[in-house]
Amino acid sequence: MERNKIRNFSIIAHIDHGKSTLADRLLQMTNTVSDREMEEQLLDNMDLERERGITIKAHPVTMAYKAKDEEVYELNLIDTPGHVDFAYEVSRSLAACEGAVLIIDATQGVQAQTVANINLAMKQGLTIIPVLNKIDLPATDLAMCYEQLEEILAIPSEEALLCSAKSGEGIPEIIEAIIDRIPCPPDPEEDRLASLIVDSSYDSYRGVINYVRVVSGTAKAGDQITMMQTNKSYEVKEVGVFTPKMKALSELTEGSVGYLIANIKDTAESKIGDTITSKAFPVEKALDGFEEVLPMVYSGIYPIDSADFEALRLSMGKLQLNDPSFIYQAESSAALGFGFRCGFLGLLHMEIIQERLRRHYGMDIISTYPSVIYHVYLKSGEKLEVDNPVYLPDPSTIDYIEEPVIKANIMIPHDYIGAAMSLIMEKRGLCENTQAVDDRHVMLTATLPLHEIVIDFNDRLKSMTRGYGSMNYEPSGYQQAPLVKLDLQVNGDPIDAFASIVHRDHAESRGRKIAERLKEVVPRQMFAIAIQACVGGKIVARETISALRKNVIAKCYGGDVSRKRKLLEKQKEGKKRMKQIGTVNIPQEAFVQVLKASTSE
Amino acid sequence: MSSIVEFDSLYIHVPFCKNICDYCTLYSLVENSPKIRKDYLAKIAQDLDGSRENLSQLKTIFVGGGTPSALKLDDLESLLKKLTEFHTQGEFTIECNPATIDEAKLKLMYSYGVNRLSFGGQSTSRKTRKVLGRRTGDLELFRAVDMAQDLGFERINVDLIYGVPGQSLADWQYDVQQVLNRGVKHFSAYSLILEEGSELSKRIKETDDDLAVEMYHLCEELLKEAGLERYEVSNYARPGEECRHNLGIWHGAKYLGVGPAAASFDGYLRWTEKADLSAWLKGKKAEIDEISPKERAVEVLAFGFRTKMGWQKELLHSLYGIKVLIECKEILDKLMTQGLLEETESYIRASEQGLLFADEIASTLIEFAQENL
Ligand SMILES: Nc1nc2c(ncn2[C@@H]2O[C@H](COP(=O)(O)OP(=O)(O)OP(=O)(O)O)[C@@H](O)[C@H]2O)c(=O)[nH]1
Ligand code: SF4
Ligand SMILES: [Mg+2]
Repeated sequence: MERNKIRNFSIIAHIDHGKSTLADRLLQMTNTVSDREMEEQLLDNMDLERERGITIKAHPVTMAYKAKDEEVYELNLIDTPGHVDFAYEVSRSLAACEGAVLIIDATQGVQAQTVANINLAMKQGLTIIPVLNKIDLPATDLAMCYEQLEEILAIPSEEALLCSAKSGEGIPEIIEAIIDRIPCPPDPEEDRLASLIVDSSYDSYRGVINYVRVVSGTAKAGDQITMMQTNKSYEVKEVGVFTPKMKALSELTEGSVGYLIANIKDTAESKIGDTITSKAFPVEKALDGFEEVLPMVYSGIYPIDSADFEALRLSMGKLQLNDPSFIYQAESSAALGFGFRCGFLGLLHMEIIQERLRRHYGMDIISTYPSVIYHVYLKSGEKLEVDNPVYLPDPSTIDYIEEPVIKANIMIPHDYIGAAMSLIMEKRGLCENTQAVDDRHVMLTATLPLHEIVIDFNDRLKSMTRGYGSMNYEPSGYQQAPLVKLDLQVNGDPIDAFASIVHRDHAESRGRKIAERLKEVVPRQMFAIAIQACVGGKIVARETISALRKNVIAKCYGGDVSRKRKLLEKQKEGKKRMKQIGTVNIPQEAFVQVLKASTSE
Repeated sequence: MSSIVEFDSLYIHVPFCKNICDYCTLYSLVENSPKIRKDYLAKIAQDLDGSRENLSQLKTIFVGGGTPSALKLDDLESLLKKLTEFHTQGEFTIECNPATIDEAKLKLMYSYGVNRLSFGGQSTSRKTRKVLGRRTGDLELFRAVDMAQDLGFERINVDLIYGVPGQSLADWQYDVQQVLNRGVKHFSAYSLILEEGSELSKRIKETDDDLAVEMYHLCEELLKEAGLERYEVSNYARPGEECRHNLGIWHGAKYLGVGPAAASFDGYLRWTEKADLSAWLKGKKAEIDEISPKERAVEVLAFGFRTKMGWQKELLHSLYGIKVLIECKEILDKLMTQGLLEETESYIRASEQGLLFADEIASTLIEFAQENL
């Protein structure tokens, strides 16, 4: 396709404002997908996306459209996720585009993530087409939206288009605007191949599938290419576009977006953000890659069966290929054996990664309580970074601890100011600014400990504002806080998997909860078991599992000793599968249950 | 199964019951016809004849089930008649369900030399029997015991179950007292087990172990006052009135089991007949449980600790040589420091606490043997 007939754009918005539904209509209008094949949010093809009704991965698709000017255009659309945890997907998608369709739900108006996403798009110098969606709904408030566009986003309200992604009203105008307003890909300075890997996935037969934006040159099957970061070369096996199924093409030309398969089996050899160039005629300078994203939340992921450790490592490699914001590193725990310390962009991200490992890779796993990175200043003057509570040094050696804080922009209808303020207080935050955005909405700016956000702030905000509140945040340095390590011990021996770093005032209640749960799931043994939650040397909660008072089956089964012995052997087998902490046997199941309950809080 | 052993004991399994109790997983059938019973008795006779040469030194015979008393009078007679061919004046026990026993059957048993009866009472309380799904009534039990005593049976056992959900300590005390009032010399008290596969285990998921332990102790006290001593985890008797058959089983005696699901032991091998009447009738082979001789010796040692007297070292030596205790010294010492076992010059046995942990002792020893011997 000629470069000037190509339009590359992403659809961006706050969560649930209708990106994927708009994508559906575009797919239909352009006859990319027949009516028979059509289904709601067609691009959300991952089982988890369909179940949760949200987009998790960016989804590219190529469409052909004959415009009013009778010319046929290639439209490369990338549908992006709206949830803050997947913002990295958005920013990478934008790198493949010249424009963005910014959707605003006309009944909700501008939300926190609208602001965050538009900032991303503007930073990359993209052309923005604002669209007010869901105008079929009676609660549509166009006046509010126009005011917010101008006041908050500094976009002239005349630029906004109106549509209902549900009914299809306004869609042709959006397509024409995409063709008119979004520039074609820029004229490259090169004619040698330079193409940016914006995403990738793994196929068990074909190896790594790279999603690329060709900036200059062309790529076709049989070409010899080089990955500029690893300096490894491969032969291209296939190039093509997503329609949204993979469709092979004879070549990918400058300015277009598609996929490239080069028989790469080792997931470590393909890196998102890398530049693919020609082996024979390489470009001198790699394209700008992506800023590395730093995980916000850490947690341990362990195979339930320690024999699955290697399989888990391989699965994580494949998953990471498709999601570079997820990082992992081997670690071990006395209670859980060998596993991985993993970093995530947020709690939803963590949940999704765990689910994908379980479902898509068949891994049976358990994860530990999420933690952030703490800065620990020792009396010796040394500074440590701790993301695993187990490694928090002895409290007597610690001078003070700092925790990461974030700056949150919280947008709410002003009826809820009081409620939001008290939530911020409860979560140890400080509200710094309150600003009216229109006559009904305010934007609160607050500093909050990241850990509190990670746990349940967003859900609480959502439910207390009946879904009208929204929040966006960015890291804002570190701040000293009275943090302590909460240890769980059985008969004096600590269980590392249950250690957590918590605010001093929350230690007792959390300790009590875990101790109570543990009491329910640890079987009685021949001796009494003390379960203690401790901070430093001090016990903050305690439960006792009384000693087993008997272990004998009464009957003799008419002399069937074999049967009796087999029953006992079965019991012993069960015991062997338990982890021994000191003298106490704890079934794997108990760890799983307690961790499940205590991490989902 | 024939070997050149001389069995000490003979066990006959009668796989018929009037109805199946909800807690029970013993092999038994409700349906039976004259034809099935005849076939069954013929096969029993055939198996006994086949082992005749191994049965000349029998010290005990035990007819259990199922419910032997569920047999019709003439069937019972043909079984007893056959058994008298092997009877040697020793202990001859038959298990009876009060619901299916009558004077004629008791008389018949008496006349064929049966000298010990074991009644399944389970509970004298209607409420508890209901939970257990046990259909026999308490009056039937008392009537049967009285009748047996009147006919001249001196050695009578009654089984009761405790630790049943809803059963209080007082309920249990009443139960035990009621049976003691009958003047029986032997008493078995089984704590309820929710066995996999039983109807009860589908209904009830948990029993109160702590309460069961209280009942265990209460029972011991009550019986002691009446002159019955605990001699095994679940068994009490006036001195000299212990069930020799069962004691033998715990102490390494050789026994032949005849009938479907019957278990046998020849001192080294164990085998269990098919728990399936028609398969057994067709002569399907028994399932053999073979482990190394050392493991077997430890297994026998392990289960002997269920008895209060434990092991007279001499007996163990005579069965498996003097090395068994030496080879297990390490683990026996450990069990002793845990307070589960105790030792004198001539005995090694479970402590009072140890009896309550007999399965713990046994599985520890068996595991030790598997891993070290
Ligand atoms: N009434 C009405 N509902 C709409 C319209 N557009 C989308 N929706 C509904 O809004 C909900 C969210 O739509 P999606 O398309 O999944 O939103 P999204 O922006 O892709 O959401 P994320 O990918 O999770 O950020 C769905 O229930 C849609 O049916 C519209 O124009 N009118
Ligand atoms: S407990 Fe006795 S009577 Fe009841 S089913 Fe079992 S064998 Fe038959
Ligand atoms: Mg979506």
